[in-house]
Amino acid sequence: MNLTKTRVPLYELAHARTGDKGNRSNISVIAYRPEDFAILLREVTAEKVREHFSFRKPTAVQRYELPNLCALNFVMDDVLEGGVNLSLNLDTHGKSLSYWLLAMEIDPS
Amino acid sequence: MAEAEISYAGHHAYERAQLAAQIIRERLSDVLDLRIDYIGSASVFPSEDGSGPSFRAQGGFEDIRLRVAAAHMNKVIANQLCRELTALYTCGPAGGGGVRTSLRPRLNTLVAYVPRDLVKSSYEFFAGEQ
Repeated sequence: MNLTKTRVPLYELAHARTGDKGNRSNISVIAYRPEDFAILLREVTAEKVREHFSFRKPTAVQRYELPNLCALNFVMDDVLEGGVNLSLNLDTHGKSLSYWLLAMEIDPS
Repeated sequence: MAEAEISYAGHHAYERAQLAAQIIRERLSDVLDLRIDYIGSASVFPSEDGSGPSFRAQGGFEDIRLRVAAAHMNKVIANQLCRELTALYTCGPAGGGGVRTSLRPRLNTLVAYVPRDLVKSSYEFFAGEQ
């Protein structure tokens, strides 16, 4: 696959896991290959993640960088519809949200 | 919290599920805030008001489970959801089946700060046994 000319979904370069605390979700994004971490740093910004999750109306999105792990951690406030004990969603923890983030399109060039 | 589900399968399953949801909405949205999911198309990513990603299969979905959830302080009002959804067997779109309903109490948790002097920190060492 030619990664230099087309936009690709984030899952081509990274995997992800989700955690929750109260009405906050945190999603880690981990590059499969260390050389792709710079692409993640450039493409997967807090602003783009906030836009990608706009339907959940995050009140804040903070990005933390973990270069030794080639990983990013996103902490999103107020996206879990109240959190694990209040939400009416089937997935009250928001565990599946990692795969929504992995579907975000990025420019890998 | 009340949760109730019903299945539609075969021709126009998704459209029949949408019609069933419309019936529930028209009859209950004055008394309950409803969350409606189309399991098989859009049941997890969308927000509570239904906005957000949903997915369409080519040629339409032929197997949808409609889920409706609501919470209310009053059990009798919450239970109306279970009763209305059960009624879809005979007073709803054709071919609805497999109704399941549940009503259960729940506790919420809230995030709060407490004054630091209320938090007593200490440590102890324990000798291990050989």
